Amino acid sequence: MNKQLESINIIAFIINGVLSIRLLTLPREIGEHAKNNGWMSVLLMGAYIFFVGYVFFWVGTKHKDLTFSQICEKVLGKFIGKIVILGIGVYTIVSVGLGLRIFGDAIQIYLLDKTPLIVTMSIMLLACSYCILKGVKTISIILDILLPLILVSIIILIILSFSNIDIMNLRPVFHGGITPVAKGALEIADPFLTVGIIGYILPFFKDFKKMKKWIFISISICIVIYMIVVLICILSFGSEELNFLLFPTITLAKSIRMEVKILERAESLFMAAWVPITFTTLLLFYLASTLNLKALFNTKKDYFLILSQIPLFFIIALYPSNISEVFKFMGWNEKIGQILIFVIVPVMMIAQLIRERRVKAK
Amino acid sequence: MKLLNRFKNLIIDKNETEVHTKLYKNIKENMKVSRHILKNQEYLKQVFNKSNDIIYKTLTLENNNLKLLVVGINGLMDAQVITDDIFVPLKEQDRFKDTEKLTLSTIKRNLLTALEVELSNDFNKLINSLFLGETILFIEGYEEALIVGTHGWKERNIESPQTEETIRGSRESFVESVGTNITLIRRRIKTPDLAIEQLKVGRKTQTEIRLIYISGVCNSNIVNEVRERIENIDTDGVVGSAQVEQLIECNKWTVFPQTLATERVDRVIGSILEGRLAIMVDGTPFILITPITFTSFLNSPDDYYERSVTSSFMRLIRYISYFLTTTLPALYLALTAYHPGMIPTPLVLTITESRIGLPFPTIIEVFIMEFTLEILTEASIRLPRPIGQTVSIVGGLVIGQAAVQAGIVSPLIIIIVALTALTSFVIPIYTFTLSNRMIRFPLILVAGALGLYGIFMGWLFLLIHLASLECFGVRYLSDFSPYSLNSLKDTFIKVPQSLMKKRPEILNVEDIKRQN
Repeated sequence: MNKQLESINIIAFIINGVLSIRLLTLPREIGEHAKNNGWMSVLLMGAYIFFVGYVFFWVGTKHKDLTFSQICEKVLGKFIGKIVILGIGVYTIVSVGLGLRIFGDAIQIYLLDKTPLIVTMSIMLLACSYCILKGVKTISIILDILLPLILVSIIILIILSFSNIDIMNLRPVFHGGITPVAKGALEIADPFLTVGIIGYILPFFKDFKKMKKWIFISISICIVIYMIVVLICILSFGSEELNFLLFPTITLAKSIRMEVKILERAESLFMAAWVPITFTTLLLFYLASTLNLKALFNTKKDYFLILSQIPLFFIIALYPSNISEVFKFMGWNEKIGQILIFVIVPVMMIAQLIRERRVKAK
Repeated sequence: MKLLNRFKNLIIDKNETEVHTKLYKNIKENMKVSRHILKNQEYLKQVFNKSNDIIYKTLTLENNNLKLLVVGINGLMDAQVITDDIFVPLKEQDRFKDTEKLTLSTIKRNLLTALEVELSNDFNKLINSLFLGETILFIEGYEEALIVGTHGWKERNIESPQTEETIRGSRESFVESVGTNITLIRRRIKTPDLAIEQLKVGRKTQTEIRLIYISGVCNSNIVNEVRERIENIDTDGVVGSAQVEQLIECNKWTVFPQTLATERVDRVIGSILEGRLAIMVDGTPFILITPITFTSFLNSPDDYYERSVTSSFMRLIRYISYFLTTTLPALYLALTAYHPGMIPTPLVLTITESRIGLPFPTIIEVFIMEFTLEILTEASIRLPRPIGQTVSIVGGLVIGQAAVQAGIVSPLIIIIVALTALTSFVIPIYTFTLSNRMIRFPLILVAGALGLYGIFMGWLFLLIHLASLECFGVRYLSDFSPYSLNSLKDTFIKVPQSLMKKRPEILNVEDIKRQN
């Protein structure tokens, strides 16, 4: 693998990966469990994510030229390793497929109501595969350029929605104890699992200088953004109303009315800001999935792997007949994600520790 | 990929024609100078049997009993130099008999007062030097000839730049001759580190190429690669720097220029000092600068002459202009046709009102007016200057006003198109402006098909394409990635000179420090 990335590039990879299209639906999903304490769920999960991010980085530094999947095979043994890789493969491919579908649905609802789903989706997928075919350096440049745009648009959204918040919506704090908060935290495990991209791109970096700092900063930024978005959704709508909104964050943007009328409605503009957000997330899942499949089949045929996944994505994206079915499938996929994040990651760490012990003992 | 290659092989005819490596038709290999000047003259006449601008002049020095033949190409030699440095000294010497007998070596050593005198017996070399404007001196009885440096021809004067205007910049621009251009650079960079490498391209044109850079600053890998690429050029001839650019560039199928062609002396000096490489081609006043990034095309030398705060502001305006000139028509189309809800209601009403009774949909209107604009720009460049005025009157008044009154297009379209035209003139480099058109029209198309989503995806594809461009190890967008405070200092904004202590990191220069 050619090493061509600087350690500061990791910021864009992590933030762009974690800030996903799930930002649109997450406040509702957390709200279902944690009600008005949803923001605490984000913090709870965030604390765990620091650990996850560190494990990915730590394991990656032990095997500098291997992706996480290859490390799995090496550390856990051939048989278990392949099973884990298969699990990661299913998770990443289904994530791309369903992410594409949600994006297509959102575009259909808010921007282009008459354009067929397959057109919007295939254009997005085409952009992703074009970018991946151009190599990791190109991906990192694109991510670096899109990141400021994404952050600025989210910050504008946050600032603008300050006008219609109601602090009363936050009460009662800690109603029902810690259990609902923890359940809500499980919901957010899925988008936060994207920090796993660290494990796949580390082999492309020249050196790991200051890397820990950048990883810490970027994960903190993600947690803060997720927390504020969830908080503002709760503050504006209240936890009860939140349950009935399909895309609460878009509704939030919709509820904004600017005092000075430059644009009549702001939400289409924010919808356009979701385009780069989705693009970067799909791109990174696609990248991880390609690298993972490479480890699964022990092959170096990049072109073939990248292009052969496209039909698979389409089948998954078009299989659910309506949006509630999409959310059902996503729930299943989330279960795989939760297994990965709560079982595989700690197991990997322990396995690596044991391995090192053994090497030392010898 | 294999399938594609097989397909390619099917199309391309493998029986390529043999390349003619023979330089000149009538030249014999290894022809040497003869003792008899008449034989030499005969041979030269045979070689140049179709060119009658060759001058043969026989000179007899009676006292020394010497016969000389002077050969040169009319118009390439400086007649004054020939008289002063060849004829006058020889004749004077001949008048006084007291000195030693004239031989080839005494003539070379003592007599000829020209700066460059060289001995050779190889006809190929002699003929080549004829083309450079040198004079050849054959002497009866010797098997060698003298090449006297007498080149001198009419050159254009150094004038002020035509294509890149600045307010406070230097008024000198490059000319067609390499020698003069080198002087312009040498006069400003006074260091022995300034490397000027000489190369030649073109079997028939023998075009002189110079690579200019500061050794010890410019990355030697880049220099080596450029040199190698130029040496590998195997062509009949090049007309100007543009051909050289196309023959050495890394990405062939892109609308974006891979080298920056400029005729401004200060721009070339600045780039060389930054650690870039300048490629000078004889016959073109445009010097090529490489490696180049996207932001270089939005910089003007004026940015460095004015106060940094104001020039930062101008930079921002240029970036916004770039966005507008490529996207504004598409944006208008997307907003009016797909998302009228996003525009304030009064504006929607105005637009709808102005469009009542118009025959075409918005996309056709946009296309009509954009094409008219392109035609006008092209016409105003090609026409002789006195008629150029007419074009602007016809374009501005007649087409704009009349099209609205005739009810073909809405007045808002005129505003949009005028804005795109204006903003396109803000971009300092013309080649780059041309590429904008190739972005604008596809964007209008996708906006017509998919609205705002189309524009976003169009820009995304554009960005991916830009990010994938790489020339001589430098990415086209490397100014923006990876994040670095140093490259921010001279991209969107321009910080004061005292803070720009380092050369651009992206060029991988060998000496990064610029000042303390």
